[in-house]
Amino acid sequence: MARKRIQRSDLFRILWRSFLIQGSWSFQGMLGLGFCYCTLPIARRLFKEQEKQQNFLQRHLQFFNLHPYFSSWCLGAVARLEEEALHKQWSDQRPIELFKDRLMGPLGLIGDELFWNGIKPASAAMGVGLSLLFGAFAIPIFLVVYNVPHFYVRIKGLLLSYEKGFDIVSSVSVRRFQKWFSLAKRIGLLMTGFCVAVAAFRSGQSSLANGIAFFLSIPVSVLLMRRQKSIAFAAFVAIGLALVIGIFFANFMIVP
Amino acid sequence: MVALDTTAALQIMISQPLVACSVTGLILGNLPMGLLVGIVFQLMWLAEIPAGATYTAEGNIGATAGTAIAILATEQTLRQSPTLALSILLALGLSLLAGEGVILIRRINGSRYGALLREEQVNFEKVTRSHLSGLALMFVMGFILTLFSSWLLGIHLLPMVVHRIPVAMDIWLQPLGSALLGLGCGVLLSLFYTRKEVASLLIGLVLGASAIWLVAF
Repeated sequence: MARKRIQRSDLFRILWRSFLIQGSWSFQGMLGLGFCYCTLPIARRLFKEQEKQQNFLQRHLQFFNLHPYFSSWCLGAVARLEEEALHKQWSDQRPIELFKDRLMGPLGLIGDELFWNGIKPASAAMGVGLSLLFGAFAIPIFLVVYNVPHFYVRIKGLLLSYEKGFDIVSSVSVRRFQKWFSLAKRIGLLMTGFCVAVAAFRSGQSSLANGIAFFLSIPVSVLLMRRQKSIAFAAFVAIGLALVIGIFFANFMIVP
Repeated sequence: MVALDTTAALQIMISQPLVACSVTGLILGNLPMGLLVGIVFQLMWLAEIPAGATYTAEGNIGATAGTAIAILATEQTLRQSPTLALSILLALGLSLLAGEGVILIRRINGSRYGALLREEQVNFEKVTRSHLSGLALMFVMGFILTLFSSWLLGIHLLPMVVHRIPVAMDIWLQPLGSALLGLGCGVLLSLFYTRKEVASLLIGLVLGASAIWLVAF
C-alpha cells in the first residue's frame, strides 16, 4: 500500500521525542516548538526537497498546547494525515492545522482531569500510605502504579491515532473518558482514606503533640484550599500551627 | 533530573518528593531522613497542578534541595528536630525561587521561539537546537540551584543557625512534620472528597486501619 511510508521505527522515534515535548515550553507558543521537534522524524521520512521541508516546519511550528501524555494522540494522527496529504497530493494542508486546533481542547482537558487530578494524587496517596508502613519499598510500587497507565496512554494513543487519522476525534470526546474520571476519583478517595488512617496512626504514635498537629492541620488545609489560597501560604499556616502546638503541648510529648 | 522530570521531560514521576528525596537520602547516606522529607512534601505539592500557563512553585526541586540541606546539616549539628524544621522552611523558600527560575526559562524559550518564527529559512537543525537548549537550560537551573543551596545552606549557614537555637526548643519543633503531613492529607481531601463518594473514603480508612493492625501488631 502506497500510503505506508512511515515506518515503525519512525513511530518509535516520535514516541521517544514525545517524552521531551515540554522541553522548550514558552508562554508564546506553549508546546509549539516541542511539537515541531517531535514531528521531525515524519518530515525526514516524507519530504526530501528543502521547500517542502520548510513548509512542513512552518506548519507545525505554530502555537500548540495539550497535556504532554496525550501529545502522542495528536502526533500519530498528524503523521497519518501528512502521509495521506502527500499520497493524495492535497492542494491545501490547512485541514491538518485545523485538526490540531480541534484536538487541543479535549486532549488537554482529558489529560488534566485523568492524570493531574486523578491518577497522580491517587498513586501519591497510596505511595505515602505504603511508605509510612513499609518504608522505601513503597517507592517502586508508586512508580509502577503511576507509569503503567501513563505509558499505556502514550503508546496506545500513538498507534491508535496513526491508524485512525482524522477519525481519532471520535475517540477523544470527554464523555467517553467520563467513566475513567469517576473511577480515578473513587480510587483517589479510597487511597486518601488509607493514607489518612496510616498517617494519623504514625503521627499519634510518635507523640500527642504530633497527633494534634496532624488532626488540626487537615481542616485548616481544607479550608484554605477552598478559599483558593496558595499551598505555600497554607504550609506557612501549618508551620505556625505546629509551633504553637509544640510550645503548648511540649510537656505531654511521649519520648520514644 | 528532578527539574527536567517535573515539567520539561519524561514526567515519569522520578521527580516526585517521595522518590527524589529518598534517592537523595540514599546517595548522601541517610535514607530514613530522605524518606521522611519526601513523605512530608509529597502530598502538599499535589495542590499545584502544572497545567498550561499556570504559575506553580517548583516543589520537587525545593524538596530535593531541602533533603540534601537537612542531611548535610544534621551531620554537623547532630540535632534532627531543629535542622529538619529549618530545612523544611528553606525547601519552601527554594521551591518559590525555583518557580521563578522556571518562569525565566520559559521567557527565554519564548524569545527563542519568536526568533525561530521570524526566520525565513527554518531547518531541522535549528528546530532541534532551539528545543534542546530549553532542556539544557532547565537542567542547568535545577543543577545549580540544588548544588549551590546544598553547599551554602547545608554545609555553612544552617549548622551555624541551629547551634544558636537553645536545645530546649528542639521539642517545640517536633510537630512540624506531622502538621505538614496533615496539610497534605487536607489537600487530598479537597481534591477528591464529595459527599456522594463518602463510602470510598470510609473503605479506605478501614483498609488503612487493617493494614496498621496487620503490620504494627
